[in-house]
Amino acid sequence: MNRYGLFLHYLYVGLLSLYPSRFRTEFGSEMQAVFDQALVDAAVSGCIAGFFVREVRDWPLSVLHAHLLERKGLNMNTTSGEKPISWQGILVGIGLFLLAIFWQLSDSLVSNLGVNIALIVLLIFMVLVMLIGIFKGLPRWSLPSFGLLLGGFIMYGGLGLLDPILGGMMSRFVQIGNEINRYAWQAMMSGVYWLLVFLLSLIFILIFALLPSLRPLYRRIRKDWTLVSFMLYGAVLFSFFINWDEYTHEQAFVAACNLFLAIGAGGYLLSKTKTSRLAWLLGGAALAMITMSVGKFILVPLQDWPMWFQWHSKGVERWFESLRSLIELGWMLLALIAPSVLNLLPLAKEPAVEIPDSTKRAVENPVGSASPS
Amino acid sequence: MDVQENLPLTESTFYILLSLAPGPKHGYAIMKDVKTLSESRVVLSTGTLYGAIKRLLDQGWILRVDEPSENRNTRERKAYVLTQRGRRILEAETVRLGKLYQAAQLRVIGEEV
Repeated sequence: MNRYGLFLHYLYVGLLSLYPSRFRTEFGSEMQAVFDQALVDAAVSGCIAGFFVREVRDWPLSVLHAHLLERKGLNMNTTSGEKPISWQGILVGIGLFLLAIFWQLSDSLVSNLGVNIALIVLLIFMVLVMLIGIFKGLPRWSLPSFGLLLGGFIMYGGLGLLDPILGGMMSRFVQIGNEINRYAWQAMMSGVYWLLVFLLSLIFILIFALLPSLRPLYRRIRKDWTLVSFMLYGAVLFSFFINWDEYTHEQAFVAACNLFLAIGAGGYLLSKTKTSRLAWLLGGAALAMITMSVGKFILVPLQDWPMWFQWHSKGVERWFESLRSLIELGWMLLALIAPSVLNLLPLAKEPAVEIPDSTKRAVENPVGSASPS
Repeated sequence: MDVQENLPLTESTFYILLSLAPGPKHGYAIMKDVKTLSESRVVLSTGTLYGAIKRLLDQGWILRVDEPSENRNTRERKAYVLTQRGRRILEAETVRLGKLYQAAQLRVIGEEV
C-alpha cells in the first residue's frame, strides 16, 4: 500500500471510531480489513476516488443507523433472549423488601414472639427464593436474596471477625469531640462494607467463569452486568437493618425507605435495557437513603440514648446520623455502578447454534464459495 | 413469526441473502458478489454492508462462523452463513418476485409477444 493508500487507511480508522463501541468491538477489525482489501482492488482498477467517495458518502448514515440500533435495543444493552418476567416473578423480586418492612416494624406492633415469627418468615422466604433460584439458574427475582446473604456474611463473617481490631483502631482514631475523624471513620467503614460485598460478588463471578458447568451464569452476567447490581441491591437491606437498629418512632420512615427500595426493584424487573435497569436501582436506593437521612434528622432528638447524649449534643448527633446516611448512599451508588467493570472481562464463547446441514457441508468444503473471486 | 411478515426485502438485503445462498462468505466476498449479482446497480460500502450484517445477525437470518483457513499460519476469518430461517425468507421472497415477474410477463411482455 502506497502513502496515499496508508493515508486513506488511517482516515478510515478515524471514521470507524465514531461507530458505537460495541459495534466496533464486534465488526471493527473486519470492516477495516474489508476496507483495506477493497482499497487495494480499487487501486488496481484505477478507481480509488469513486470507491472512497462511496465509503464517505454512506458513512454518516451507517454510523447513525448503528447508534439507532444500539438505542432501539437490537444490541447487548437489551435483554435479548430473556423471557418477559411474570407477575409472580415481580412479586417474589420485591417480596424481600416488603417482608423486611414487617420484620423491622414487628417490634413495635407485636410481642417478642411476633418479632421472632416475622424474622423466621423473612429467613424462610429468603432461603426458599435462593434454593429455587439456584435450581432455576439464578433468575433475576432471586438475586436480592443472595445480596442480602452476602451483606450478612460480610457484616458478621468479615467485619464481625475484625471487630476487636477495628474497635481498637476506632478508639485511637475517633476521640470525643473530634467530629472530623468521626465522619472520616464512618465514611471509611461504610466504604469497606460495600467494597467487601462487591469483591465477594466478584469472586463468585470468577468461579462462574472458571467452572464449565456454571459458565452459562457467567455468560448471562457478562451480557447484563446489572444482574450483579441487583444482587448488591439486596445488600442494601442489610445496611438498613443495621442503620435503623436502636431507633424508636421510626416506623413511618422504615416503611417509606423499604417501599422505595421495593419500587426500585419492581422498576428494575420490568425494565428492558441496562440503562433503565440501573436507573431504577440508583433511584430506589437514593430515595430510600435520603428518606433515612431526613428521618434520622427528625428522630434523633426523640431518642432515649442517655449514655450517647453525654458525649454528643443532640444537635451534633442529628447532623451526624443524617449525614452519615448520605455518605453511605455515596458508597452504595458506587457499588451499584461498579459491576460495569465486568464489561472489561472477556466474553465466554457462546454454545453452538444449530446450522443447516447444507451450510455445515459448505463450511467444511468451502471451494468456490468463501474466497473473493 | 410468519415469514411473509418480513417481505418484501430491500434490494440490498435480498442480494446479501442471495449471495449467501450457495454457502458461507466473508464480508468482502459478499460485497463483490452483490455487485456482480446486481450488475453493478447495488454497490455496498463497508459501513452499509456491516450495518445490514448486524441487523441480519440480530434477526437470526444469518450466522457468523469461522472460515477455515487454507494456510495454517494465517488467522481464521469470519464468514457468514444463512440460517434455516434466512433461507426460508430468501425462498419466500424469490417466490414473491417470481409471481410479480409472471404477472408482468402476462400483461406486458405477453401482450407484446
